[in-house]
Amino acid sequence: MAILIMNTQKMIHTLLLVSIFVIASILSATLISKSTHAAPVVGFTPGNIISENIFTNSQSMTAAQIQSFLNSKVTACDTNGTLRATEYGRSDLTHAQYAATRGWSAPPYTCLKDYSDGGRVSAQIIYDASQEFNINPQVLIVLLQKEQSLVTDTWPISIQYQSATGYGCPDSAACDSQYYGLTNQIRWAARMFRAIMNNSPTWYTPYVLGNNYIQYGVSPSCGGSTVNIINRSTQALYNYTPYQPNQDSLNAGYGDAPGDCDTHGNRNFFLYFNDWFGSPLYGNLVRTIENASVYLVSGNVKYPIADMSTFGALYPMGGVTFVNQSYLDTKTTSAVLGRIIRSSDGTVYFFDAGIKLSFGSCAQVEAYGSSCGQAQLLDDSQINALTTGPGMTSLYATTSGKLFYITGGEKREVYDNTALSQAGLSGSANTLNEPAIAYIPYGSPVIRADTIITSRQDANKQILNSTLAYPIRSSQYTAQALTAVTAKQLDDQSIAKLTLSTNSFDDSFVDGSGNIYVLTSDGKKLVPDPSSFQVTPIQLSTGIINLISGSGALSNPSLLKTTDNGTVYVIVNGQKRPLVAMEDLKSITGENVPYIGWMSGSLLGSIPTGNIIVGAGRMVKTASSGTVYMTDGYDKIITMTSFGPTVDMGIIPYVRTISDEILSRYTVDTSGLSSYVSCNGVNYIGLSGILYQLTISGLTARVLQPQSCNVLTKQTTPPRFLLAPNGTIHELKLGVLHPISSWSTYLALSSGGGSMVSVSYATASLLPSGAAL
Amino acid sequence: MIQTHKTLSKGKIIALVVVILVVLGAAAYTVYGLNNTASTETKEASSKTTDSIDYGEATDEQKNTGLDQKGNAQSEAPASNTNEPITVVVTALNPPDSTKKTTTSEVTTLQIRVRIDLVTTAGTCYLTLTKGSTTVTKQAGTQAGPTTSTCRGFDVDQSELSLGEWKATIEVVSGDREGTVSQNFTVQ
Repeated sequence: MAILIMNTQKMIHTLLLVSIFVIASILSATLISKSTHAAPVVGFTPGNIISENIFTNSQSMTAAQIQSFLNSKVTACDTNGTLRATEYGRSDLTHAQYAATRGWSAPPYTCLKDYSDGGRVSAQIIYDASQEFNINPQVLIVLLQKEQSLVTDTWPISIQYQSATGYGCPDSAACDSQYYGLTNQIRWAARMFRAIMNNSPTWYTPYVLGNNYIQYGVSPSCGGSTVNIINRSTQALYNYTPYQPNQDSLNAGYGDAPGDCDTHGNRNFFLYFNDWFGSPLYGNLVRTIENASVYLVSGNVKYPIADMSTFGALYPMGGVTFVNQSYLDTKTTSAVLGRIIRSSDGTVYFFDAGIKLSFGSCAQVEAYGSSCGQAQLLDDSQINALTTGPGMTSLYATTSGKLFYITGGEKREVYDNTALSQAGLSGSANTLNEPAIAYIPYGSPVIRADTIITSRQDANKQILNSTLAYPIRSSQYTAQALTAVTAKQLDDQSIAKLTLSTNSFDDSFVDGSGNIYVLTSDGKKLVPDPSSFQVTPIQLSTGIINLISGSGALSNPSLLKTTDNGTVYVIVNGQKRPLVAMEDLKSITGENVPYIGWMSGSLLGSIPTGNIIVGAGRMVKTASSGTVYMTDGYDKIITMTSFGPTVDMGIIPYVRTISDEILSRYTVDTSGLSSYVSCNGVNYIGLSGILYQLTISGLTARVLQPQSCNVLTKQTTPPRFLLAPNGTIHELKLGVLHPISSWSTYLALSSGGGSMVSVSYATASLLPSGAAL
Repeated sequence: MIQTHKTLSKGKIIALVVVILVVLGAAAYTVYGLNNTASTETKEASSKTTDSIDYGEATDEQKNTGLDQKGNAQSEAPASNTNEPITVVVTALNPPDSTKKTTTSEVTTLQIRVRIDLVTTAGTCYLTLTKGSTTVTKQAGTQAGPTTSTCRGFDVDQSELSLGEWKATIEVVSGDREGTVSQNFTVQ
């Protein structure tokens, strides 16, 4: 037990010791980690370290602001070098003592914030150089820090000021004394930056805009890569540090990377600038805090951005940077930025969606409504920031699905590829955003005949007959009949460029030969008697008529009705006349089941309504009178004096009562009715309800209207024998009645064949009598 | 003594172990959290989009990065006094290309730039372009930059060059020192 207790106690002590060790290890590891750890550099692009507009924003800070900034970075300066040199691992020595061991200058040490040269404090020297050479003072501040750590150093030695910006200090050799001194160093740096920014013909640099071979370190063995330098500000930085950081250097953040190829200059410039003044990659698009107007700054010019579309198209140029009004005032305000820009080498581009597309010729630029001379000049860095796309084409497709042919400063909307091909304008197209060509006015669209054009804006349709467009008056059967006709959308602005007819396409049309068609529920139907409609529909080409569904013809006369009313109309003499009863149909068309067209358009409504058609070959009367009439055709009634002729002709023995008003619209023929009639130029005699083809010499047949004839049964060969009401049998030969004198004679004659029907006195009296048999 | 030891019961031992583990966990969390915070802050700083000026005190990273630079520039002796070969590197060689046409012009110039690892305005550059038996020569002075120099050239008009494979040789002479670099290119 004692041993166990002792072991337990030991175990506790051991645990405590282990715990302390582990905690100490973790904490020390933390400290080590904190001192060496750094997050990788994010956003560093070797070809675009800093944008030109930020690089040249000389109004970013006043001298007072520069002074405040320098003050903030060094709170206490070790002027006498009395603080311990712990940063060099020599806490046993003061800074002064450590400097002595290195052969550095002795105190006093003057921090940059307090340093003067030629009677000016450093902040003023920086500011003055920035104004003289139009370079952002922040660039000069960062340069002083990345070259000599002068901004943060609490005990800078004299040689740090001698070569403050590293000008005249090769990476592999000693510095050149002709460039010594803070003012001298800052001015040389600013002068060189300005010369490069101006692309001065007298200042040569090892680097150019475009592709350059840039090493990762001083030694060629470090390797390198081709870097596409897109702006002169980046080009200028490589004149200072002619190397790019390798990936290890970028991964090390502010720290050192292993190996001999860890170059810090441009990496540290990027980091310091980013941490102290914000991203160095913006500044193309600027505005002030007070005014929301955004400008694209190119050199000494600022272009107002008029719309969000243009702003969005410039996204590779970064976000909007807030600048002072004084900076904006140094830039000349140009016209609103359009979509046609040019670079310093004369290449003219169209830009959209972050892409630049070069024009092949100035004529093509003019087709897009500008000219090579009018193209807005941008900094090459800004041109380079845009991704290079294909060359511009005359055809411009939009992401919204439209296609335009751009010519003569107009955009002609293309109906479809077939229309394009027919116009001989086929080719390749770039697909870009439609707002980019919003500035180009619409021209006449590229269309093709025999098609339907639908408005994108209000869905209204036009049918295109050659070059004339008819607005389509939409209805149920119209739409149905046009399903086979190609229909595409165009903008209203394009439709407005068409030759629009004042007449609409509805439910009737005529072809080049004068044939009228109507649109029914079964599609198009030919009107057998065009004159009966007395209308002048729009004329369509044979091509488009063939595309309209349907075939066949209406009845003659045409029978039509609307979808919302049961009344069937007969189209006669430019009128639509309501039918009273369906049993009258045959009298109208001669067909037992005539075709009735159902219509949904406005044609029927446009035809004046005529008198009701009672039905031809009918007996009618009014309630107010006992007179009976037989209707003959559409407009005439014949006063009847007896029912004999109607019985002989086979008129239905039913008298329909009609109103006096309807009756009054008929023409009354009082000349009487006989059973000897003429239908369509053929004479008939009515016998026992059938009309037999027969011509009676010396007697004029009553001409009946075709509609009346339609309801009468007709035969070509009359019966041989007629039985008169008095019992006499007659043989009808060549239109003459021959009485048969005896039954035996009749039997003898009838043995040769022939039928016998009854004949009324009235009809028999019409026939001439011949010799008895 | 034995009784004293007996007061350390098994339950207390377990409780002590638990406390130690909690402390360890807290320490580990602190380390992890601190590191992550530092990392996140740096990345966010890299994505700033405005020109806000940081008037805060410099961070240790920002201060320490420059320690090695202190005294780097102390020598006053001009670098051109040695007899070592001059390092010359071709940084840009862009031949004329008739297939690359701008809207208003064609690329008709051979552009050659070099980096000379020597700060001097007194040097001379000799450019020799050869294609078979054809030779084109150019000469230019040197332009001193902050840390290197470059030739004050060369831009060669296409009219001096026929189509095909060429070799460019740049020789730099400065005092007793010289350096040479060559590179092939194609005119098309």
